[in-house]
Amino acid sequence: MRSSSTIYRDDYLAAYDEYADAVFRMCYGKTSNREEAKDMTQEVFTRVWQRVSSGKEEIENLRAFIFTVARNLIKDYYKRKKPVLERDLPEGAMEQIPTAPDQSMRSESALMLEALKELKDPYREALMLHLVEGIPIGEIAELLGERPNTISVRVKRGVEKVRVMLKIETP
Amino acid sequence: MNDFKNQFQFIREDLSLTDGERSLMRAELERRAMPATGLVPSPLYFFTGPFRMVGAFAVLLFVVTGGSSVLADEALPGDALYSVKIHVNENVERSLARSPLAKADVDIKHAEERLTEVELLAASGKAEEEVVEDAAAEVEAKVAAAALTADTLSDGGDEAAADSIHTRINATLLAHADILDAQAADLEEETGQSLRALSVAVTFAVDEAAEVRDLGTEDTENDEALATAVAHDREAGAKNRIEELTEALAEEEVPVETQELLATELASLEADYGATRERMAEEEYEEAAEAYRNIERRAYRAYAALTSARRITETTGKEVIIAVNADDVRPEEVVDATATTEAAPMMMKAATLMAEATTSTSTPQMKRSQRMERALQFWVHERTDTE
Repeated sequence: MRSSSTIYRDDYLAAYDEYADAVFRMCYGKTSNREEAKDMTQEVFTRVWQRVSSGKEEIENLRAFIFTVARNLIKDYYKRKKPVLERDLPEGAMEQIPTAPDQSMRSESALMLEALKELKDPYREALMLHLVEGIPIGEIAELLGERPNTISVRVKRGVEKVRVMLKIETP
Repeated sequence: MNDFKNQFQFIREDLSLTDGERSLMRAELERRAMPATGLVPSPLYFFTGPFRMVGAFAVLLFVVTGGSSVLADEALPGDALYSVKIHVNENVERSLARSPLAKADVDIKHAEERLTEVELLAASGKAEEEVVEDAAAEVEAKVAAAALTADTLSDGGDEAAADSIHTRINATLLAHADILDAQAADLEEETGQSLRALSVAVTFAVDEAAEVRDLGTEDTENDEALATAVAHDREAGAKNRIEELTEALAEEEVPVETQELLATELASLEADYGATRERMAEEEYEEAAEAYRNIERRAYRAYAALTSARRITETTGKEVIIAVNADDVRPEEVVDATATTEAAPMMMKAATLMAEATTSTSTPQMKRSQRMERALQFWVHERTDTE
């Protein structure tokens, strides 16, 4: 017999497997720093677990919840950088995580990420979720609690801004 | 316009956590999400039931060691932490296995662990009959569970996965049955008997699993696609087993006799593996599959003998060596061939046993005799001629 908390735990870990990379990319988009993005990703999932396991709130859509937590953490990134990143990590835990080998990132990706970093949060997250992660506009609107129209506009303007930054001519 | 938008996809392709990063982070999150950290009102009876003192100790252990219960992993029946090992660690491990195949693997691993525990206890003369009986029951239950999983996978059309479970049951557990037999031969009558009984129980459990398998595969026997898939799967299995043995042999500090013996076996396994790959190239899948299965079994036997020997040495401080008897031997040949080796007394016992078995109609003995004749066998025993 599975108790409710093991269901939570299994679902939680399954969600980690599914969304860890997406959350990592969102964080990377903000920081352009692999190590920091990793720390933030771990913090996002730690917070998600704390909320899930507290049992105080009904979480209907785990994916939406994860992205919301990620979004808030990213928003607070500059404000709360220190306490967030170094809190309650066991000694040596981060040193164990091997750094990535030189990523063979295409120049397009690198440039694009540089540009994304300069965008304001709402634009960047719209682009990351829609164009990078491929989540449909309607779902993003639901995830973020906005109207679909708002998200479409952000995607459109975001793309324009990136295009300008990269000096790519409008066809 | 779309071209430009599509370039955002490059980021998805180029930027992700590495497998190592992802799994380390997962391990850390799993640790934080352990019920014992107090984040969850624990559903485990363990912390409220009759074992609560052990439970409290486990919590303390999690705190003190930063959440790992590594110590418990090494516990043997009778140790204070043994309950933690089987009630907490193993349950957690099983619940973390995501696919049915992974769950079956964990079941087999735990069955194997019960056998290793008995081997370790027997090596220091502490294998109580009760513990041995419990181990037999546990092994039967876990093998049955794994076989059931295989059956379910097979019903769902995943024959290759089902086959892999059965190969693993067979290779892993029979290796331990051999070791138990060998240990039994070294021990006094009573303990020896109970180890032999365990070995027979293991053989039975494996046979029963195989019977379930045979019933289930009758109508798929001629399926060529299946034969190909199975052959490829077993090729991977054989390769892994050989690598596992190679690594263990390179890492473990073993007596020189053992080293030489296993190096010879390894070379022979590698040669067979190469030959079998040629058969694959000629598309003789069924024959290749059978050959790979034998390689896998032999490699695992050698590996199990090696690791058991190491653990016995670690626990008891006794130096153990591994001896071997060759393929397809008659009882009288066993005695001749091994008279000069250190294993001679034990081989004689084995030969007697085989002679008895060939004249006996009792099924357990028949089965043991078949097994003895079938393959290269490794014997772990205490070195008697220490300088």
